[in-house]
Amino acid sequence: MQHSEEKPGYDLGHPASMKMLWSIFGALLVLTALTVIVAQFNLGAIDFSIAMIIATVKATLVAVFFMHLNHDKGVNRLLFVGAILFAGLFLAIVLGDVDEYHHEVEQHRIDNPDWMKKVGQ
Amino acid sequence: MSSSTNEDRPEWLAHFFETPEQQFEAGKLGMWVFLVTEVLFFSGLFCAYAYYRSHHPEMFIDAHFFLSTKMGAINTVVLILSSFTMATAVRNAQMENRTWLIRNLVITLVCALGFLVIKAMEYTHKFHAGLFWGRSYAPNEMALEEYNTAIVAAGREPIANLAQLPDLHQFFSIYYCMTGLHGVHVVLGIVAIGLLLRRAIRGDFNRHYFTAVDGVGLYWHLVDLIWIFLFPLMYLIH
Repeated sequence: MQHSEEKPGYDLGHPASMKMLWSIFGALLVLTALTVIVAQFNLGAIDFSIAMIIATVKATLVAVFFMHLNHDKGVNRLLFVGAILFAGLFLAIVLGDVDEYHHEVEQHRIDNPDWMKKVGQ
Repeated sequence: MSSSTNEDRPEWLAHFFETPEQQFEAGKLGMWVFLVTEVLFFSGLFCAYAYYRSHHPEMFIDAHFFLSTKMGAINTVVLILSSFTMATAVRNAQMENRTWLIRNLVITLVCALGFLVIKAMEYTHKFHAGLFWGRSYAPNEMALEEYNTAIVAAGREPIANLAQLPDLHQFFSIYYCMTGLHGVHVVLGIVAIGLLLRRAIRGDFNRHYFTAVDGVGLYWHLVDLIWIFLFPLMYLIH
């Protein structure tokens, strides 16, 4: 391919190296195997955290390398990271709310043992 | 229009863009903005999941006896493979390697269809057992048998009848909403990849013009990314 005599504004393809793509693919498969293996053991409360950490690492690999955010413009990175942050904020507020009212819901459940069944019908 | 002011101007360069780079960057920015709306769209369902799981952790633990980790793991691998071939498709479009661009897109398409077939098998199995969403939730003997097999394997006592089966209608509502919406995205992805394949065969793309390949690629990676979270949240519950 002749890139040397390219006109300005025409040079825009920066192909990712196959070596990099293969390594990310391999890493994603290894992490999938890892999360399935870890799930076979009962590690108690940290179970969920481990699964979520592995998922986040996998998602980051996909976003940074497959979606080539590592070579992308700042504005695109900002958009995506911003979306994740706002989704996180949304989740944090919901969970904070759950925490705040949890005891009331529990009390309601104790007072009305058939509550769940009624809701379902 | 003015009689061809610039004879060098390629036909795939829209008249309102100065250069292919500007066209590409504009298209890509639009795609990222769309992906932002997608992330926020799904975040509502993830919140619903977090809300219900924090209120009823026992329901989610019981429900996991009805989900096959094997099927979920196979589908995860299928989607990761399709993401990989999509990333190589973008590379081949940039390198003007039409043969491999087409091959990569075909593999991606086959994986996407495979994902749907496996998902359909899982859904049909649940429908037969009466494991529906919301008010339609009506587990039958098949569900009872499946539940007993799973809890005995986990070292618990089997339950005697259907009345003792835990009420999981909320879990299955969330399960169908989340995997269903993801499934809709896979279907739309199949349509997009199909159209891309047609254009690739026609030879529309070159190293200055591959915006569509890149855009569909970004979309498809996001579909993979959402599944990466759905898999542990649905299939690996303890």
